[in-house]
Amino acid sequence: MIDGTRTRPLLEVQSLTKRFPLTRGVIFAHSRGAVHAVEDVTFTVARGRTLGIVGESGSGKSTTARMIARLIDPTSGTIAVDGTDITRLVGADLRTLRQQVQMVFQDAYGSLNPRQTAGQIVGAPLRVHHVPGDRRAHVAGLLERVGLNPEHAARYPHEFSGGQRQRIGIARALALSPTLMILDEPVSALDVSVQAHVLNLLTDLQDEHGITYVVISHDLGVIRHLADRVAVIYLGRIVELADAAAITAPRHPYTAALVSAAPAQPGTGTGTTRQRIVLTGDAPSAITLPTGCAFHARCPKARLISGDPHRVPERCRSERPPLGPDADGRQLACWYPLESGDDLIGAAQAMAIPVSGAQA
Amino acid sequence: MRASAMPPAAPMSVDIRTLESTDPPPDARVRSPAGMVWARFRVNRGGMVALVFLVALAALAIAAPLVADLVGHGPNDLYRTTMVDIYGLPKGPNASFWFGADSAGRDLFVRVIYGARVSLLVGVVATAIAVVIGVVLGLIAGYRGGALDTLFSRMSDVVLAMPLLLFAIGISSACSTTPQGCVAGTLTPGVNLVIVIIAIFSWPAMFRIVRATTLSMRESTFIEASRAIGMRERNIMFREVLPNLLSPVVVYAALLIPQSILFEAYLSFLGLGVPDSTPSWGGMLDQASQLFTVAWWLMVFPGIFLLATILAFNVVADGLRDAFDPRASE
Repeated sequence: MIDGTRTRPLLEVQSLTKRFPLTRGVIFAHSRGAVHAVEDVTFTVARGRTLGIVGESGSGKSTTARMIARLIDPTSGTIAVDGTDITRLVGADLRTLRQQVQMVFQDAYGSLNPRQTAGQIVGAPLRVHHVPGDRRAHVAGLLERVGLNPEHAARYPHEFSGGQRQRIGIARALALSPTLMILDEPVSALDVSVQAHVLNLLTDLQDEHGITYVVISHDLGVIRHLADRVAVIYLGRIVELADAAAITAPRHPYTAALVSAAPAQPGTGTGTTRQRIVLTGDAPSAITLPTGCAFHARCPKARLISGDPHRVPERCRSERPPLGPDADGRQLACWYPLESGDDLIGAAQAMAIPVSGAQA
Repeated sequence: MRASAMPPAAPMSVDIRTLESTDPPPDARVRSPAGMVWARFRVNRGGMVALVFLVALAALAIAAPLVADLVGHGPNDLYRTTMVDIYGLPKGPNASFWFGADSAGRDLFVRVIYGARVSLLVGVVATAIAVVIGVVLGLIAGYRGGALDTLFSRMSDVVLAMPLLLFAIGISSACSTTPQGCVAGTLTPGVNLVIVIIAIFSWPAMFRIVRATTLSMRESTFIEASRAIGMRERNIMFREVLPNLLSPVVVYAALLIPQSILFEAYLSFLGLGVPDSTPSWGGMLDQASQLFTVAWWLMVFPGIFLLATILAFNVVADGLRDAFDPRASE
């Protein structure tokens, strides 16, 4: 869709759903509902492109990442890599898939075995998959490629800085020359000063090797830097899926709130006068999902439509909006998408007043 | 093309390595985790004294026949005429019998040195067996979970629920009635039997520690990362998880050794341990219990050695725990 070629997307995710059952009782376990972590998520990523997945904590983005990396088994739905459904792979086929799909973790230090040297960690994928050739030289090359001194291969994770640890994690993911890399909050645990370097490394690697990325983040800045397309996820469902450039002009009220919450980017205009859309309340429970639109309880736009800060239109409460294309080709799940001139800030402030007193 | 709403914070041409080298590793020398543990243990004075004592004791135990040669008395040589008086009471320490003699006229010093052999052998071998059983079962139970976890956990509960000494005495006496022993001749009376009995009752504690640590480690990101690169579960267990269990296992093993030594002493004290011809501290204390009012040395010397050895192992274990986890001592 983006590059106009007719080749099949590298990654096709169809109706992906994950529910974690809640059970009670030790001997006679019985079900007490389920956590709806991911619900009916569908998207594709073209070869060599980057999809960003944004959402707040608990929205199901990490679960989605882990399902694509086959670390968690989906409840239903399919994930196709290069046209092959990977959700049912086991044994040798699964190990072959591991060479194609690699993951970089948020907790760089935690993702490295403290009892192994950097060289052993980066060389592990080569050992596991019996990659022929001089492993030591291969590891040195990988370390060098991610900007580490190959002589540091004998060092242990605790002897590296945060950014260097994430580079080790990237080198390990790179070792098997994957076609798809899942980046789960790749820089959120790093100092701001180091974040940009790691992001630049990731874009360089993509340009060189044509790797397809799925990047998970709660940070729109990171997403804008890496992604070609962005999926905004709320309570396990995609609410808006658009080109990265278009996401700065959101049409879903939730995306608008996310965008307004991101720190101002230098050079994007309004500067200090910019105001946030402050959402009222927490995200609803993922165990008992709200009826209708999952966002209706916190949606300022719905209040604009009803004309009353404490009422939402009947449709938002009873009917779930489907994810579908709008006029510009972006995917959207909202009954009343934003129009220019909507005063969401004002509506959000009006919603907050009787609940928690006056709020600036 | 790529959206470039956020300009890169640094120009692409800058060498990232030079930028990040402002944050050097804390120690320029490359140090393995084991090297750091040793470095921290070395500064622990009590731990080092205890360790030196244990090394010296082990050296003496290994060189026991040499010691016997130097002194000129074997461990079972009887000096009934010189070291036992006409009433059958042993004589106390003198220039040639440093620790005196027992009621059979045997050199107590030589027997105490030989007794170190039995104590250390039983302590180390029984602990080693308990560690192997506990670690393997604990790893499988903690990592795999499910039915195997239930099976092994219940097994360990059953063993822990047994009245220890009673069962030990039962097994020991049942296997000691004939020289052929029991279990089709695999368990013959003597040191082997003692070792097996101690190991049977020691592994559950090790099992519980390993299982609990594995259980929490199974959820850690580096295990997930190993799975993501396609490592087999068995290799994850033994190559990724096991090395991280080193510190609890080593520390607990160091605590199990003195327990096993004491256990052997109990059994020998009750006459159910090693036969009298093999000198053992517990056996010597058993003899001393009848005579110590007139022959204090029978109780004092084996007792001091037993006490000092147990204490030294505990101090070393304590020092190891601190060396593995420097925060624990604060």
